[in-house]
Amino acid sequence: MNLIKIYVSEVVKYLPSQIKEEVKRELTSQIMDMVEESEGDEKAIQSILEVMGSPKDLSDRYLNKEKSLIGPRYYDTYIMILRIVMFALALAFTVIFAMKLIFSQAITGWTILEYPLSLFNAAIMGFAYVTIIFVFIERNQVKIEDEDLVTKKWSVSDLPKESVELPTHRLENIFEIGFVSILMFIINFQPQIIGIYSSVANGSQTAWTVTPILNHATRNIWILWVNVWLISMLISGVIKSIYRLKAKNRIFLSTFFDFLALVLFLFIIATQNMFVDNIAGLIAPGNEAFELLVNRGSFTLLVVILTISMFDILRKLIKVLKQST
Amino acid sequence: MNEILDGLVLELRRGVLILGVLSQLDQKEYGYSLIQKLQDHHFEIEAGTLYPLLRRLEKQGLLESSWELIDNRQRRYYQISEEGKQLYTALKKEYHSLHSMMHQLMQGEEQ
Repeated sequence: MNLIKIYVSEVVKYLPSQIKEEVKRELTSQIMDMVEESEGDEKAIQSILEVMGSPKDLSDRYLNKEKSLIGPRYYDTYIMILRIVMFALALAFTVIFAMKLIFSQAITGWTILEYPLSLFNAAIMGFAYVTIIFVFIERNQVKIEDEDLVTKKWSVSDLPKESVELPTHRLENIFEIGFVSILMFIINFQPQIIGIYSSVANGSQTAWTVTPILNHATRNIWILWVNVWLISMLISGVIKSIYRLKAKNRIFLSTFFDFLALVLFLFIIATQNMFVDNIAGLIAPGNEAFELLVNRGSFTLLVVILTISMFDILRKLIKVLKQST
Repeated sequence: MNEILDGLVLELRRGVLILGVLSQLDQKEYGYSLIQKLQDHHFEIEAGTLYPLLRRLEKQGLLESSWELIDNRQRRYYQISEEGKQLYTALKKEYHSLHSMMHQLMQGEEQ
């Protein structure tokens, strides 16, 4: 009898408190009926409980819960994006490895071993990020569609007045997701390779020096925000790739994440001290003209990035607003 | 091949599960007595499937339930509700029409 008690407790453990006691009472009574019909010994109880199935499965049936983490609606896209991310990572790490082999003064066993280890780490992280994003999309979308079904029946008049094209092409999405994945894993695993490469002739040999752009001293501060920024861009890319989402929702959601990414980008640039101070001075000490060129150049680049991003966000917002009216 | 067939048979059975359960609840039954009643008609259903289903049908208003003390045992008895009867009649009609349509389709194929 103790076994039945344990089994029932395991089943109701996963249930909401409102129905817990009721199910406990009823299930115990139902199992007792089955036990009474059998010989009632420990072995018979065991086989009855085995027929009932695992407590988790039975609990799910009481909840009438969907079991899939990522349902069939998004599964193909999920696999496609996972492939893009994995391919991008493999590509990035192969390039990094090749660069290390070229620019390293001495190749050690560790240099060789670091390649598969970093790739493995990055693959696990990429898999986790993509899966989490899809679980988020799956859960929210299921909710939205259920609400639609409950509130009203779909009719042709619900179609938008004109067809709304995807804001970007699929190929662009692939590049966007691939690029963000590569950037994410370089910043997390190989930040030292982001720098300015210069060669110095030393007799018959050429020695390469790398002047890092990223500020390693403050890495602990900016790394979190940079990851949030990159994940926002990744989410936006994933949303754009999901064809079956309603066009308006897709544009609105991806625009929201684009906007979030832009705000985070500005926040990081303005407050996080992410880049090394006076990079021009480090490359060419005392060359004021070069320093001015680098400073103005980086400022111009920042303005160009901001202008393009703002223009893109506004374009998408206008599209959403046009469709709403 | 057998695996595919088993899966398809399971799908077919799942489709008629509620119809089978509603058909036997004209009189009140408790969980295990209903399993036995269904088995008497060679309708196999696992306890782990039926018990949560009874609760769900009750929540939908298709069944009514009450706790009763019979033979010194507290049991929850289920019976079809008025709403359930209406739904059962409609569902039964749909089933018969589907059955005859399938019969015709398959007969045509056999000829």
